Amino acid sequence: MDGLLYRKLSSYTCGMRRRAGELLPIEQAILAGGIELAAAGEPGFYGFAMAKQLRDASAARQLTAHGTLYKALARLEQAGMLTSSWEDPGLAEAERRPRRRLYRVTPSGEQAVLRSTGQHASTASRPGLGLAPA
Amino acid sequence: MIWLQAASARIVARWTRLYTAGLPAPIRDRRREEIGADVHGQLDEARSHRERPAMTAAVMMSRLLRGALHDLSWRHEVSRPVSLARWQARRGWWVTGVLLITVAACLAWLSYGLSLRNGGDRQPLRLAAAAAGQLASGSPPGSVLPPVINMASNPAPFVIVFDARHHVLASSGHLDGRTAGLPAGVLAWVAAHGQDRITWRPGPGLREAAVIEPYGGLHPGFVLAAQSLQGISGQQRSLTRSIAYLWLAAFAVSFLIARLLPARTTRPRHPIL
Repeated sequence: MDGLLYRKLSSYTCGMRRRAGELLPIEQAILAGGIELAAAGEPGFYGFAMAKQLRDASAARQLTAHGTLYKALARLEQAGMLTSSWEDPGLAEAERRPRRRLYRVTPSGEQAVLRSTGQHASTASRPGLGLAPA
Repeated sequence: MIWLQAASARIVARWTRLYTAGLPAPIRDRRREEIGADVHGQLDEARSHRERPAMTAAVMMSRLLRGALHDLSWRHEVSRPVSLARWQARRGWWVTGVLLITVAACLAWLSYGLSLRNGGDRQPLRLAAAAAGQLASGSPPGSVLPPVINMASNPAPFVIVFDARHHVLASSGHLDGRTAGLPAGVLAWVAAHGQDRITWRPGPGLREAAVIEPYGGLHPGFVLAAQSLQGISGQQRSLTRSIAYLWLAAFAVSFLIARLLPARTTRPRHPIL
């Protein structure tokens, strides 16, 4: 993840064009972050948890902007790389906070991030993803 | 300084409400709740790390500002199919509305235009009735005429007196030094049916509101009283222009309303802050 500069995470522009199946840096980072959180025992992540994960993983000082983060999450979900569901409302009530939308990386998302990492491996080393080929 | 955090959270909430307004309820409420949970998470973390409130507020504002364009482009993406469906649902109503507006504009133009034109007959009617009365009681034709005018340059009313065989006996309206001739059949129609009101074009660019009245007495005949429609034509042109502009404005406004007005929405069940 330290290969991803914060500037790249923020470069999710509206007019951006991409080839089919290609992941933008922030999408790669979200998928990788989701996989790491799952490996750490988190069953799912919500927006702010991912913003923190991205900040910590990239050693950036700033949290990802709301618009950038949630737009990327929506795109990944639409592409089938993430699934999401509301957490148990009882849990939110017990902790006296708003309920969270929890995202999980799908097998298709894992494949996509692995493919994407493979594509970039020839041009840059990308340690820290914590991924191994299935 | 806690108020700084609360104010920032409120600004984020307001901004979220703004850019999600008018979206379908499931999409709108989900985004609002997600941002609500995010903001709550950030505030929670700031408290647990004893972060300075000003710093938390600045980070929150920075997240809002840096992501604002993405928020808008996300809204554009999710609302495109919605606005298309909304337009398809409203198109029938809009077309009906435009037809009604068109019919109303035509009716307004016709009725006001006709009333303007009829107003042009008022003076000739009075003149023709007075002259016919005087001629029937034996007054000589020359005595019933108003001052002589050149109808090409003067819009004042004038009178022409004819005998029963349609010859001109006296006239106060001239065109290039001559009395202009009436179209064939006009006097014969008046002889058969009585008074007639016509729009007479005695020469190029001239329009006169004319009333022809038969008169009796020892020497029966016809009296024509007319007045230029120049002023009324100007009013009719300005009426046509005004109605056309109003129609265009109604067309454009109704189109914008049908195309852009968001569907009626309800407030979210879970306020985010």
